[in-house]
Amino acid sequence: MLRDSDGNALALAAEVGRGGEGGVYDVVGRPGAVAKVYAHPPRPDKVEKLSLMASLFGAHPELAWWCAWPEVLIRDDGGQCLGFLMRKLEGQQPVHDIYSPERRKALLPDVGWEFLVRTATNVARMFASLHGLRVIVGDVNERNLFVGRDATVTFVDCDSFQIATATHVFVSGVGVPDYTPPELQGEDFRTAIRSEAHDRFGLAVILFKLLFMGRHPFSGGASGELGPAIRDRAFDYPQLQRRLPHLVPLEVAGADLAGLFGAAFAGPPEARPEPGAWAEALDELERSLQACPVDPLHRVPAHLDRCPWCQIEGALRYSYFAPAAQGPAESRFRVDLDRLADLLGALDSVAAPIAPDQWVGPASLDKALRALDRALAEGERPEAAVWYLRAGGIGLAALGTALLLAGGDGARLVVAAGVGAWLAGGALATWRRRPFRRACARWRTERDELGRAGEDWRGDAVRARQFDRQTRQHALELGAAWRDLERRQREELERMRGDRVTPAWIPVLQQTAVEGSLIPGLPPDRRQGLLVRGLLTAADLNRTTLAQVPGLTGAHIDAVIAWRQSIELQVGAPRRLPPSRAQHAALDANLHHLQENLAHEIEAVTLQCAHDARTADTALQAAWHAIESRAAATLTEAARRDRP
Amino acid sequence: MTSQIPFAAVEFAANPEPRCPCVLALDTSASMAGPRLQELQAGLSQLKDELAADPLARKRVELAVLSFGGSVRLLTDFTTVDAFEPPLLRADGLTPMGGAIAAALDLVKARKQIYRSNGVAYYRPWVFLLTDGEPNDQWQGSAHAVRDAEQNRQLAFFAVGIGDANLDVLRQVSLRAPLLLKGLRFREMFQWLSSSLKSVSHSGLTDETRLENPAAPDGWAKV
Ligand SMILES: Nc1ncnc2c1ncn2[C@@H]1O[C@H](COP(=O)(O)OP(=O)(O)OP(=O)(O)O)[C@@H](O)[C@H]1O
Repeated sequence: MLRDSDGNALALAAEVGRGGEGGVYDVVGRPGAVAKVYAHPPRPDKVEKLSLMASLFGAHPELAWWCAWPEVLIRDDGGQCLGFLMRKLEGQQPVHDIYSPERRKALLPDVGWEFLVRTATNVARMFASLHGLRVIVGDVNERNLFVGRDATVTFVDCDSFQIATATHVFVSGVGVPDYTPPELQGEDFRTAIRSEAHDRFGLAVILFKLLFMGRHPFSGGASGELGPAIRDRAFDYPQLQRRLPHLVPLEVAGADLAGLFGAAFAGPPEARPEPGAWAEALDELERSLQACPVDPLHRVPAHLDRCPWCQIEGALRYSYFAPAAQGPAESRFRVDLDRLADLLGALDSVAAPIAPDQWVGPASLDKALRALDRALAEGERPEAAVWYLRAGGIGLAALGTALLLAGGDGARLVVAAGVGAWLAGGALATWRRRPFRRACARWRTERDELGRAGEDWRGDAVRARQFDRQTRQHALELGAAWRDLERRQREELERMRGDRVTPAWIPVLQQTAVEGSLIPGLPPDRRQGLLVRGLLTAADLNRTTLAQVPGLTGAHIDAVIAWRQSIELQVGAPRRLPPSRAQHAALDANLHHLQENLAHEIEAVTLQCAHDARTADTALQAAWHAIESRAAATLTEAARRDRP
Repeated sequence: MTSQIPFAAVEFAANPEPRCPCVLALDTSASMAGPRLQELQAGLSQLKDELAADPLARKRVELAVLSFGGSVRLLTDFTTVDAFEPPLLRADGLTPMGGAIAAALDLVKARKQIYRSNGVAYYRPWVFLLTDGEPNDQWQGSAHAVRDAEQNRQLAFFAVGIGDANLDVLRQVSLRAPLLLKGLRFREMFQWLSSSLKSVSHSGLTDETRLENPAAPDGWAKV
């Protein structure tokens, strides 16, 4: 016979759950309570811990708000403790079924992100209360924490909490690596003494999973295992989120919370935020949430200017929240041409890089080059003294030759003097020009180089313009895709018309089982996926139900719908039904996503153009200065030395 | 601007739980025909049901089924338990066990790559091999690969013989002592497998010392 601490007999009724250490049972005549009964009588220190917990409950009955706390010990007639009574949980779900998107959508289809934020706040408050009573959870994990429809949370398995008296610590004895802080990884849970700082790590992991769609903050890295990743403090969600843009960015939670997560996962134990700090930041986040104009379940934190869920879901083609049950009677999406005009107008008002012929520089370079040419030509021209010597020499030589022909005496001497003078003129020219020629050679090279630099510069300027034109061209294509949304809307509506089953044919379609049917274009393993989702007969198949089946491509869905329509055709001409409200809502949301993405891209192109033009202009300007100062230096030198 | 979204991203967005992959490599050679195959078939359904009854395991455990009878065939690629449907087994041909082991290792490797590219953690993969004969193909290479992987803690390989299975060969494949199924205790064996996978998927159990000993006197196997 089992008895409670007042000696009242207890009769166990149905088992409500079973764990590693024993069973949990309803108790006859006590509707709000359940009894945990151990398979093997607990050892004396465990009994001591349970009675300590029961007396703590006597002093703090508010523990029952947060926990299925051991309230009353259960003993057999011999006085041996076999278990305890606790509050019964009803209609609550383990937290892993709440933070995991697919399960949450099935269990609580009408809740949005604010529910998850509120749940997180409540978890933080629960830890604050427990720590306030010097109770350490120890074994933080996703199976011990339950969440109600009102976002309140309850701990079960409280006999594994760590409780301390002035002289003794009753340890938890168990743990899960995924929630264990780095400094405890690899320790023996059976003996490890936990601290509040340890609990704070596990708390942060739970909160992270609630806010970020069930993702663990650590991905496990190369080994895949969470324990070692935590030990190495490899908090890699921020990197992962850059690689996988469909993950919910840390920034969605706001800078405060992002900072708290950083401190909790990458910082030293003493830097881990305390539960109160989390509760405050989460409360703030919840208060800042605003409705999204497109999806009634989407909530937008005030610090963001567009709905993150629309963006993520548009890219991923998966809804983190259940599709709206009600929708408009017709597709309400309208292509926003005014906004497109504004966006393209903004792009037009961005100036292109300056055209090469609009720069004043090139003309001055040409002038400089001409001046250099002139200086060079001038330098080539011999001096007057040389002219005189050479001309005199030729005259004397001619005179001497004439005298020679006339047979005059001394004529040879005159010829020789003439030739001598001419040669002397040449020697003088060579001697006078010697240093100048070296300079000339240098200037000529310099002139060629300057000419080439000028050409290169022109090439760069032209290319910057071309690049700019191409970027703008891309924006025009985006604009075309934007205008095309209207056609896509028409086409989709047309396609959806064939999607719904005429009610009259439902009984007929129900006779065609998916199992065993050959559906052309759908591989058999995908067919299994339909069955698993409860799509058992042809009557269950439409684009809305099929969209919920993981792993189906658009082509698969088309194939399945075509198959169903072929059956409709066999049994009589199908009457086409207009698309349902839910389909309209889905279509509108989808087109809205697409339009948002295009707007985003056009804005990005605009920013890019402005940035590129600025960079090109600055670079061209700088390059031009370099060329100009080089030309000026050469010219000055040439001017200084333009005469030998 | 344009984002990279890896293959299978939706699957891991819908359910980002760490994965616990397990390949069942099942001998479906001609000698398995009859009660053995029937029990095995029933065992698969039982495995699914037991795992599906655990809300966490059903999101974490992924099963793949390879059969080797005549040829090696992938009957079911990795699927989480909630979507797993036991494939139909047919007995036929000889026992290409070497090929099956190699295929199981490849399967595990490819799956781990998908986990990593989707940023999802995973527990050490399990390969559970069941045979009633001896290989008729090259198996030494595969044996080597298994022992290597097991030594590096990249894999947990369990080999179970049925009837006249050649345990000597299994001993050379598996670092863990191979087990011999007692009679037709498939039911108990799959119960053991499901509860082991459950505890692995619950706690990230990294050493197997906490697994129940199947070769205990009242267990389903002998060593
Ligand atoms: N207060 C409660 N009200 C209703 N159901 C409960 C309650 N406490 C526990 N349960 C159910 O009983 C199951 C086992 O309980 P408990 O967590 O105490 O066992 P355990 O031995 O610690 O399990 P394990 O060793 O597997 O973690 C739980 O999964 C839960 O479904």
